[in-house]
Amino acid sequence: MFQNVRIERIGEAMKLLSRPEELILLSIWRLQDDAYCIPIRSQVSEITGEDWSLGSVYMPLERLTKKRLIGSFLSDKTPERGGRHKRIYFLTDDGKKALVRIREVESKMWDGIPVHTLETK
Amino acid sequence: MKKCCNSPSRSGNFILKYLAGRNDRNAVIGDIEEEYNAKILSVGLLKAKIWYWHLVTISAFSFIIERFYWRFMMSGNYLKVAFRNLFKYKVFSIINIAGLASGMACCILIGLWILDEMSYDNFHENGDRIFRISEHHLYSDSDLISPITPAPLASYLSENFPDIVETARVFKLGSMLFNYENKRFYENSIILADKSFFQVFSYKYLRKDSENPLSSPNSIVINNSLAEKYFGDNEALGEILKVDGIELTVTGITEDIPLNTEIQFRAVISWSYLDKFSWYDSTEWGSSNNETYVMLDKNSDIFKVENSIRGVIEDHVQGSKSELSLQPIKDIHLYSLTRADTWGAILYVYIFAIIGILIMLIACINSINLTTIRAISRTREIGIRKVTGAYRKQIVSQFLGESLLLSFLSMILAIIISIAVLPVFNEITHKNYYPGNIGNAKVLTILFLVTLCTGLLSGSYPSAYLSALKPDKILRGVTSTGMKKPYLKRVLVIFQFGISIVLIISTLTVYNQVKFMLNKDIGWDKENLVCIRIRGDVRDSYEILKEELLKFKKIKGVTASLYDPAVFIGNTTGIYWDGKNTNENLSVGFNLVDSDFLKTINSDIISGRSFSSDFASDSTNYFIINESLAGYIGKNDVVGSKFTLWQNKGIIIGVVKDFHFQSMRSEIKPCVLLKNIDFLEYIIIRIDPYDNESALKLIRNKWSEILPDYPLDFHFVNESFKSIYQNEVDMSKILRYFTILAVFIACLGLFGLVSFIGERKKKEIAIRKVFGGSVSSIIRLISGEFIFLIVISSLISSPVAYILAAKWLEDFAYKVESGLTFFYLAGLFLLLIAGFTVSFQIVKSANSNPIDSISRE
Repeated sequence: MFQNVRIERIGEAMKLLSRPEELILLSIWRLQDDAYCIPIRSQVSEITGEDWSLGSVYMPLERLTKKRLIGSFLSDKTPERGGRHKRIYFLTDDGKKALVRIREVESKMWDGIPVHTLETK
Repeated sequence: MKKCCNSPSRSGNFILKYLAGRNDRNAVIGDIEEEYNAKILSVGLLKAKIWYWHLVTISAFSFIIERFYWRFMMSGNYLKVAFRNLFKYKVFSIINIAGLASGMACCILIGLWILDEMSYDNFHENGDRIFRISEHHLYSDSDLISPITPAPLASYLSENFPDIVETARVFKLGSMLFNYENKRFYENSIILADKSFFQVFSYKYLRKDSENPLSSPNSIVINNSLAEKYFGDNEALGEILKVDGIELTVTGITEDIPLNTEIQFRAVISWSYLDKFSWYDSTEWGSSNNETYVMLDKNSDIFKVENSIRGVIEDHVQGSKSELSLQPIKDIHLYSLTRADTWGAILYVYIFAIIGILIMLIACINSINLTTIRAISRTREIGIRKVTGAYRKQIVSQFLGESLLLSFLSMILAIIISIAVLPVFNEITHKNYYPGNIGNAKVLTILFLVTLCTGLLSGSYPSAYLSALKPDKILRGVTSTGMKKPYLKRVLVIFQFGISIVLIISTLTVYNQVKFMLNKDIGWDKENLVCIRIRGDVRDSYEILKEELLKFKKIKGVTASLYDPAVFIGNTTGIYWDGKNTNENLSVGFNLVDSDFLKTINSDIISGRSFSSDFASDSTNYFIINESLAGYIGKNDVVGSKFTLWQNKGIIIGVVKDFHFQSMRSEIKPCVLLKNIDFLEYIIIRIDPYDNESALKLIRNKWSEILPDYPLDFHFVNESFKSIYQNEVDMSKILRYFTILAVFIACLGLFGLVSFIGERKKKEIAIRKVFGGSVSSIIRLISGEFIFLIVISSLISSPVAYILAAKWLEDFAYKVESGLTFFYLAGLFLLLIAGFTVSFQIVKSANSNPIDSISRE
């Protein structure tokens, strides 16, 4: 019973996903095992061509965690980082579903629209 | 990536670590470090550093905003709301603060007094080694502890007990006539002391003419104010002062000694002064006149010393039963051995500490009740606060903070009040405090603690209660449920009035006992008796003075005796009669008198005759005894039977009706009177009751005619009679003030409660009135509960009060009955006061026009 309730809520939450959240969610999926703050930031910066600050990565990560779309764990201490942990993020089932939904909605919205018609001269 | 332990900055790390309010701050810092190192590679060290410090700065800034700014804003808001409430409910605030402030002021004064009482004789350098010898007399009918010991004891102790390194005898002379050139005054607090006096006690010399000024005979050491009084700016050392006609050389000047010592003196005269008196014998173990102080060796065992000196008196005086003990000098004031010694027994310290706590409790209860009922009307505020995200902790701290604010406001007021009433307080307690005493660190610490406790105590219930309310219920308006059964409030009110009743009954008991003792038929007439101390060569002129004075109609009688008739200080066991059990060690009071003594003080002879100047042989061989002693002798007719007092063998010529010659704490003792005109100390004159003034004028004129060298120094016997009960009189006064205060504070609280209830029941009253309820039925509606509460509290507290009163009265052989009347009176009194307090508010709400209350909806 609880399961149903949660799915319903996540459906709602998905609607409220902001663009940065969406991008970071996707980026975590892309990075898979190495998804911690630094690579996420560089990847997103690279793709969007803008310099994302650390804070602008942390905040969506926190929000996504609250919405239970992602989870995280602390990696073992590594010598390269001066003996500090990494916090590695991964997608939960809900996160994966949310990505699928977004993809579906997106493609449905783009269906039948030729991209070249949008190009301006 | 190169191996990186390239930490950007230690201090920056530290700041970040502190600011990152997350539990995985290490991971965050690790991220930042990694990024920093990446930046060094891509954009260079400088830019990386700039980036890093920019990061630190902005996070610090947001941290400050989050942690401090909003907190500050909220505190500001709390403060604003607190003051708004303070001003909005003016009556409540005034009652609350006034109650707390008067309670605290009372605590300040009591604290001041207690601290002062505890500080007596704390300043002696060797204080923990100085002891006073006290003698415990064991008589067959009673026992007596006395600090007065025989003169040879001191030298005997220092010679025979190596643990006793120093002894000092102190003989309290009372007032003496000082004469220097044309200045002639009676000065009190004059003592005689051994030359070791200033070695044992830490009183400081200002100037002295030799190493030990008291060692030379006929020397006197005076304090600074006496020196200024008699010698002005001139040097006092070496001058000759006449004291009671005897010339003494000033050999030292001391500073004015502190008030908190039991050995009060303004001048110390060397011991050899006593050699001038025929009655003084420095080797006589049988009579005691002075106090003996000893200083023990540093390492000596007090109990061992005490055990070894215990029997010294018994060894020297045949047939006496007494034990010596050591009393630490610091204990003398608080645990005085003889009742007559001083006012400030430890008992009073306890009594007033308890009273202070009780009054503070009453004030706190007021505050709790008032804050709670006032807070009820603030439930909406709490609801909104909770809805907008306040934690329970925040609500609790808001209300605690408010009550702390209130109690600190009261504290300021309390300090002002206590400074204002200080003169009155000084008068009652015979102390000399000035406002600066309140600034004493100890007093302020106590005050601060009391304030803190008061604030927390009075804020605890309201905050606990209010913070637990559910916001949805509050905002839907279902709040009144919480106060439907105000058990706690009732209990608190009962407690308050219970304390008030106990205090009222105690006050009534003490007051009645004092009145009883001062007005009891004491077997003689203490009114209109003038008493003049005989000093120097006044004794020689006594007969002439008597003869001259008796010529006047306004002088009803002239006599003299060894003691002031109000208190025969002397007790003796040196009596014998035929058939007396020799093992019996009966202590009797005695007095040496002139022939008209009994006639002058108006006591009745029940058999035999009084002394008479017609019988030449009356002197020393004839005795008059009191009924009580006659009872001990036991014969049917004791008149004419043989009797021995000390070495005087004679017969009993009369029996006098029992009269009070000592405090009413004990039963009237056996007493013997003996005619002996050589040892008279007081002239006693009965004057015309209708014209005291002109009779005194006559005495004054005759006195200065016959004895021009001595200014007339007299007192009324009823004054010295009153002074026996000075403790009780003072206690009665102080209790009265405190009781009034307690009742006042309790009534303040009651007033607040009633006005609140009147306010809450406004609509109920209006509706009742609309449906024809009479004014009286409405008055009953509101006041019924309070009458009930007061009756309950008097039922509970009466037994407590009864036990306390009985306990206090136990000390008196002659006492008032603490009958039920008191309890009715106390209950009734409180009902009346409380009724008067609430009536104003009740009548106001009962008489209000219903339209005003109902039409508002």
